[in-house]
Amino acid sequence: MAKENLHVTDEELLLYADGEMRPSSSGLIRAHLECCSPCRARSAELESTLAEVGAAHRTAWDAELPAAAGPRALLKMRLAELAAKDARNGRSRYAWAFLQEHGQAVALAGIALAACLLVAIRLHGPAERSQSLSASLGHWEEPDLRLTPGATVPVTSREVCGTTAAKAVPVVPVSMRRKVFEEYGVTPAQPDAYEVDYLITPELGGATDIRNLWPEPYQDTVWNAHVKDQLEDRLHRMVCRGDVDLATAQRDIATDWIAAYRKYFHADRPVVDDSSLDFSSLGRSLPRT
Amino acid sequence: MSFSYDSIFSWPLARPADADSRVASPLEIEVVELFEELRSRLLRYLLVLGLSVHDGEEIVQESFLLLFLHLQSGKSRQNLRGWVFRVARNLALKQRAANQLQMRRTVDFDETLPEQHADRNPNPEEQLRSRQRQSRLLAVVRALPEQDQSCLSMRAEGLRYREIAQALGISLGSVAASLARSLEKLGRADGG
Repeated sequence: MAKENLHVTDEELLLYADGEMRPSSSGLIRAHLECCSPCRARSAELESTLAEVGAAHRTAWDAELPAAAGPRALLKMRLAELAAKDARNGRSRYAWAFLQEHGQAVALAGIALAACLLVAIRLHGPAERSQSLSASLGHWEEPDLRLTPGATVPVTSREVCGTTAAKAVPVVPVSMRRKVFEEYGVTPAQPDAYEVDYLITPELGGATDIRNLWPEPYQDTVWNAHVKDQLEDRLHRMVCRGDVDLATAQRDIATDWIAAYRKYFHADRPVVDDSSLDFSSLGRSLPRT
Repeated sequence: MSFSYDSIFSWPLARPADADSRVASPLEIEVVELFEELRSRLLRYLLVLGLSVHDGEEIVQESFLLLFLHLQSGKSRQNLRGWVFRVARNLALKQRAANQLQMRRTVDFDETLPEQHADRNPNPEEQLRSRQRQSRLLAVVRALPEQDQSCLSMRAEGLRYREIAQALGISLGSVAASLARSLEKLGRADGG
């Protein structure tokens, strides 16, 4: 190619387009491009191929990417833990020095503050609380899929069905519970009204991961935690009988567990005559028809 | 009295001293913002390197935790995108080596691509042609040496050449040379 001696090389064209040529060379290339149409064409061709490869690359992989909200929540939690650990290490030193100097004053101030708070809670607590709870309860019969898309551990249906220990659902760590509440905007006054529940139960391979947890109301809704337990038991049995494969069960329960309930129970509302149902624990949560 | 129950409980002193319920620091917010900007790009790149989505997500998490520690200790803020890609890449290569056997994914673009394209382009012939062209381009990309693939993928993710250079630990000139090489192969495949 005659081009190699007289014209701008591909490397130079690329660097020039990305603004990485030194000002002096950059000026020369600009001047050359102005009067050389083959080089202009080549430059355009290179950039258009790069753009095309970029588009193909993104299209090919995008379908595989899960939503970002769950991972973002997980990162926030981990960052908070990291920062907290760091702060504890640093803060304890300062706190100790401060206490040695002002110990008595701090103690008195603490007692006074505690007294004030107690009075305030007595005066204003219960009424406000029931209001805010009834206003917000029931919003999360189903999780926000952006925050809780579901997450699984790599297991086979044989592993899920094989062990008797599969029944033992791992306890969600307190820090993770708190983070779930925070993500869903549950105020520190409310947590008692919710269970931090697995979207995909560990019995079906669900992970103890913030992407798989959401605050589910305990009571007062038709589609509550007890109803979801029914579905989980049924799906587990069906998976183990081979009526439905594990991936389908996971997907159905993660996408819309209420729809999954309707599908697998062939019922529009929660049914109460399931053999696995524990009536003693149901209490007020039975649907009012 | 004017304050409500809720406001008492959001008062810092009434909360547990544990740091989980505190407000995120500016640095945490900055890292999360960068995560939002880069997460998909990084993840797609990790998939190119042959990782599973699950492993990729974990590595993205780890990279941003490392970024937090990096910034927290007052280290350089220059070229953070390149820095994150570099860390993620190193973690990915380590991970890939650790489970080389299961990891080597042969991605069936040829099967996934048609469906994704089906609804975008109304003209079936045009559609078919662009799909075939994309498959052909990606086939060439997949046959490239790893470093060339990395350069192209990072460029596809919108990184500047100096960021790619930083991520791969090579010079700007090497990035340009790698891309020029790949583009020539792509051009040849296109013509032939």
